[in-house]
Amino acid sequence: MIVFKAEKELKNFSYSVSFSSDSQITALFAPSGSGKTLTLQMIAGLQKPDSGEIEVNGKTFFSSERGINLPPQKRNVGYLFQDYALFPHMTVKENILFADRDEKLFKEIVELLEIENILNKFPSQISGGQKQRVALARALIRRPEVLLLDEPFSALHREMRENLYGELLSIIKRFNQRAVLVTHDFEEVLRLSEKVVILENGRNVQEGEPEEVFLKPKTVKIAKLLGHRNFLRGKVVESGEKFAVVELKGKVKLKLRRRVPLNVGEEITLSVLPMSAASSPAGKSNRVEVFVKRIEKRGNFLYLKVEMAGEEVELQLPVSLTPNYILEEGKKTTLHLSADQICAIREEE
Amino acid sequence: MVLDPEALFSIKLSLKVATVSTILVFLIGLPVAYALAEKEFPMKNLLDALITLPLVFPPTVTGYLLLLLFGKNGFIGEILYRFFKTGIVFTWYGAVVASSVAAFPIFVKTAKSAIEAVEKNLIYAAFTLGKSELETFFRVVLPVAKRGIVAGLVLSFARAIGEFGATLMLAGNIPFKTNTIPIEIYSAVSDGNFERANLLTVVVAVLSLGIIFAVNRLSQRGTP
Amino acid sequence: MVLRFYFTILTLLFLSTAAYGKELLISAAMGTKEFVKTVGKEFQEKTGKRVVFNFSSSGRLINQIVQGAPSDIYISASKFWVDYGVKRKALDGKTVKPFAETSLVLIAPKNGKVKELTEADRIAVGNRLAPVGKYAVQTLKSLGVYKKVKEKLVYSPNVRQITVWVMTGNADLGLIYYSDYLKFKDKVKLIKVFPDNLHAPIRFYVACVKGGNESECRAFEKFLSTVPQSEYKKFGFKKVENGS
Repeated sequence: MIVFKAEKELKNFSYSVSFSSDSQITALFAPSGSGKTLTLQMIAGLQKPDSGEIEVNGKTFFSSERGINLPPQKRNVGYLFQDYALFPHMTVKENILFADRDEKLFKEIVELLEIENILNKFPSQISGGQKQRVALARALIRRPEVLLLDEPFSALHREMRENLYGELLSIIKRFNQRAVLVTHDFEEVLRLSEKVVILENGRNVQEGEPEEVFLKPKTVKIAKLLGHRNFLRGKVVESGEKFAVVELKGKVKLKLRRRVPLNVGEEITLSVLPMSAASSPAGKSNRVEVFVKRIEKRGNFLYLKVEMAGEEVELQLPVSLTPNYILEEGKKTTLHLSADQICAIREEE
Repeated sequence: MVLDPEALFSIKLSLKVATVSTILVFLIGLPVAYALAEKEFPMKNLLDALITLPLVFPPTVTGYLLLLLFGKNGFIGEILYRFFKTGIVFTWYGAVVASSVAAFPIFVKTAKSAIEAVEKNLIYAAFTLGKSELETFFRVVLPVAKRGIVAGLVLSFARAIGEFGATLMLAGNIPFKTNTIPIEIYSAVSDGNFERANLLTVVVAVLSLGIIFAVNRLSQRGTP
Repeated sequence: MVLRFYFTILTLLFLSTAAYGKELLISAAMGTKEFVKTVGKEFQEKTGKRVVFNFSSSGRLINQIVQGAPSDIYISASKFWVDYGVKRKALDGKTVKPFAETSLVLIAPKNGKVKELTEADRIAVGNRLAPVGKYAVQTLKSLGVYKKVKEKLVYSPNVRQITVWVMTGNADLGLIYYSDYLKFKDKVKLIKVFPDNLHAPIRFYVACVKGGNESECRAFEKFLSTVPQSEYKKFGFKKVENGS
């Protein structure tokens, strides 16, 4: 269990974040500069809050009320820095054994992370992905209370990331390790964590299960951060238990699964997810007439820019579904949009 | 051209004074450089300014202030006389003090830069791995900042061996006691003995270059 | 283009202030500074010729002149450097004249307790080969105390340093010129003036620089000899009447 509450006044912004999590992997999500790294540093004891409480696995790391501030040396956290922070003057083996000399655990971790063959090399002689693994090994060898990962994959390209996601997950499960992951990539949040806390300008603005948070962003600003791209203003005309209907410009009506409370007559913003077009014409979908502006084929997907209800909308559908539609640039067509892939957002900011 | 006994002594003396000064400057200057680089404390800027003074003052002025401080009627001088029955004025200790004060700001500034250049995350990593600040300093900061610190030592040594104005003021010119090479060279020039001056200049230049070269070579070993 | 313009302006300015016949440049030993400045100003008022000074140690000055630095008059605290300049053909040997003399004195810190040379822990003197040092050693030898006090001597390449050591009490006694003592008389105590027969005459020389304004230099030398004894005395010197 992690209980985190901290306030700090800094030169260019004020920080006040509070959250708690019992998940194995908790994600801190935010664009750069919102205080993600600061949060990790506070948990590790590298930065001191002005006031607050930080408790990890029942151990109090910091309490301004009780005058407790455990130095980082005594907190036993495993910190994976964004730039790995491997000691350049030590070999890989020396880096990992810097803290602990547990030979047995050392062997196990080295095997697991497949770094036996670079043990005698120096950090300058190994690749980014290898550095990351070494940093992870070094952080794990003390069996830390919590593993703090500061954007561990941001420097790596897509393919490598996919491999490492799987490895990280298996390692975490293997050691039953609690972890806090900081990232600005929501895909990572979806892939790796069970709970996400969203930070914005030094404040936590939303938290919850990643999929849920994704489908129920509190504000348009947050939705944009999460990757939503298509926003349409409308008015709620029907609000039932499971579904709601919103009327957009040009009398276009969209049916959506109702996840948040909606009142009839309320002005609302809808986010149409690009994958909502990837549905078959059945059941819960909307039939919408759109004007196709641009079609682009990339891999197995077709990327469409269409005009719908007076707004430009980006949609995505797998090539396999395209025979269902007549798609031609500069022509109108009818698409089926899934009600499950439309979200209602009640506030702008 | 043979070197007279006084000149030979002055070479030995200068080497001794410069070496002792450099060691002294290293032992005192390193923690000061670390504090200035990594720590926040009240009057930090004042300390930094004070340390820079010997760089700003003409060496004669620095020497004069040191004389006032360490001399017979000086604050520290009186304490020395009371406990050790002797002062440092007109002794080779005086030469060491003068050289150390002159070289101190040079070392501290260079070492401070070298320590500041050590990635903060490396220090943080060591902390999170359970290492105290002291152990982190010796096992992480110092090795990583080694090149810059050695450069600082080399500069200090060079400054120490060339120190004249403050040294003359504090240690005087006493043959076989405090006649360092710069003092000998200056005296030789003042007296018109250019042969002697030139010879001594060549000797000190060759010695200094040799030492600097050797130190640089040694410090480059062992780094990948 | 602009650079060239500025360089031309600078050169013209420089040339216009160069000592080519417009000013009289006196290179004089530090020990004669106040005296030479006063006399030089009087000369300027009398002849309307602008006088410019350069004060430093006798040795450094003559070396500058030998290397070609512009100067018209050279005033030295030692015969050694004058001979040096004549040998190197920088000075006109015929114009070399001693013009002033001074004595050697014994000084002590203001509240110093030591009065005798043999009682002192540290005695500050000039470098053995420097004029002020040579005279000091001669004096000590004449007094028969040189062997006894030799270990206690601390040497200095210049007089200022000697007075600082005595002033701050780090040297118990010091031997300097009377003319220098007058500059510091409120900072140190005068113990005694050594009789002139204990050392060779402490003489200051004037000479004309070859290639400089030699006629003006000779005029200046003549002017020097007309300055009254009282003026010399003010600065601690004895006028040397024409002779050796």
